[in-house]
Amino acid sequence: MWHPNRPILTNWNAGEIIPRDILFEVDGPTIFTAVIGITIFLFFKRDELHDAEIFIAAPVSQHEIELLKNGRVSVRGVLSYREAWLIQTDLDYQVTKFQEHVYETIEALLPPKGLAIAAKFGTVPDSVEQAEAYLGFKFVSKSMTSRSMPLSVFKGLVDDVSNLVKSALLPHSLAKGRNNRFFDVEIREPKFASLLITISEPRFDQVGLREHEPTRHLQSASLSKEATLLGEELWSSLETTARLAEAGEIAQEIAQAHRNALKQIKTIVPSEQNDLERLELTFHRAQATQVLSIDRKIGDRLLRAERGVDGDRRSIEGTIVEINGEAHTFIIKNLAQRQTTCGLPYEIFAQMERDGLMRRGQRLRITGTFWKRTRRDYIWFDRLPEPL
Amino acid sequence: MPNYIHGTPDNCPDAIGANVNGTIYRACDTNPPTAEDFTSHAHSLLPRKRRRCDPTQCESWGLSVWTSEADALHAKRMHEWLGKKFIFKADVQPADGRLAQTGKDPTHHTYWRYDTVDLVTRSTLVAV
Repeated sequence: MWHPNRPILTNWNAGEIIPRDILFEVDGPTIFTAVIGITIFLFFKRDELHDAEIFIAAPVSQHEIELLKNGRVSVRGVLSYREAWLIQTDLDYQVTKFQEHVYETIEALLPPKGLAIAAKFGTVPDSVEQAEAYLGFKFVSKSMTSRSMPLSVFKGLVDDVSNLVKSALLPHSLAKGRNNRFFDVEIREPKFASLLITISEPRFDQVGLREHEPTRHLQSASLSKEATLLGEELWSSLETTARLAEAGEIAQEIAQAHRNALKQIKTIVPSEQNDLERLELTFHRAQATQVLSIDRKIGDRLLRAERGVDGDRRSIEGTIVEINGEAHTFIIKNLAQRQTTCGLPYEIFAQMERDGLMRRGQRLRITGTFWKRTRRDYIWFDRLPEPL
Repeated sequence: MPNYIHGTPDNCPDAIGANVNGTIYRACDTNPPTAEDFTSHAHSLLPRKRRRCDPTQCESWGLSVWTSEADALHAKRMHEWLGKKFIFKADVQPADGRLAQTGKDPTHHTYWRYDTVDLVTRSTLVAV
């Protein structure tokens, strides 16, 4: 519990801790506010001992407390992205020892992700920024810390988010030529630790629209309405495909139905091809913020579904000439000496190994989605090939 | 006329509680629970409970409970230290005691049982 490299202090001179606003209690206050000096702190009971209690305490604003009470942000969220203290008290709330922390050192002790103050609110965002933003993107990767991340990673993700927002939310009436210059969104202060980029609702340059002949007739209000509908469509598609991807591979017809969203998101999802571990998307809708979490497994399935949208369904025959156990792929060569890389789910790869099919020299008929390429073609399949 | 446990202030639960048909959920230290798990702060001899007891507050003479399994399990997920405890549930009727939502936490309730009611043997473990 106590960080071994941070000093544990006993000279508490900030007075008695008096629970003021008790937000949660179990045989006594467990989440409450207290005023220390002139600052409101949120206290979260982290542990109880025989004759003591240990709290995480962090400064909060009244606005943040209201968001918490109304189920707009998680308990974790109100304690995140700020300095905090680990405080041990006796049963009379007299402080016996305390330790100062930064977000990185207290993060592991915070309450679980997504938990609101009450069960009735469901899963909620883990930051105030996500709770208040129209659309939020939270990238989690080992290369990101609260102090720094590689510039290339930061720029790449900012560019990808920018491109996604423009392609997903740009009203069709502004899609021609340079008319998209009248469309923009505001981003809030990005947060490090994990990279959090949140944006407000799209806005339109009404003056610019009026001064430009082809767009003179367009009204901000109707453009905003259209952008909102596009945002709803994007979210709906992402929710559907991500939930399906959580359960398994996405059927091709479903991928086709959601092809736009899959194409828009493909550069930002975590996958085996990048070092992102998780992407958390939030969308403000009907007075609440919805949360969607995409890990690498889901991300890879979304990418495969997106690849399948453009591919061509066919059967090919060939002999295994090379196997890549680490990537779970293999290469076959047909009678014309043309090579094809074969991609497949791990479960099928493992089944082929068990069945003795995964060996050099094995002839197979494979049915899947095929892409013609310059040097080596590619086929993705998700059912056992037929041995020949 | 049923009685509350000895020492409970006169009229205190009657003023704010209601006789209900329902299920209450309680976090207990042991499995199976002991009498101490269903003893209020005011009635307990444990220092932890006595120190947090305000005998002028009606709630101190009752038990902190939840009235839904979802709320009980939510509390357990929220607080790691609750993970060491066991959630038990008991069906109660108007003849067993009184229940009131107490405090600003809308999921928090207090239950005052009548002195002839044995919640220990009536309770069953909620699987997690």
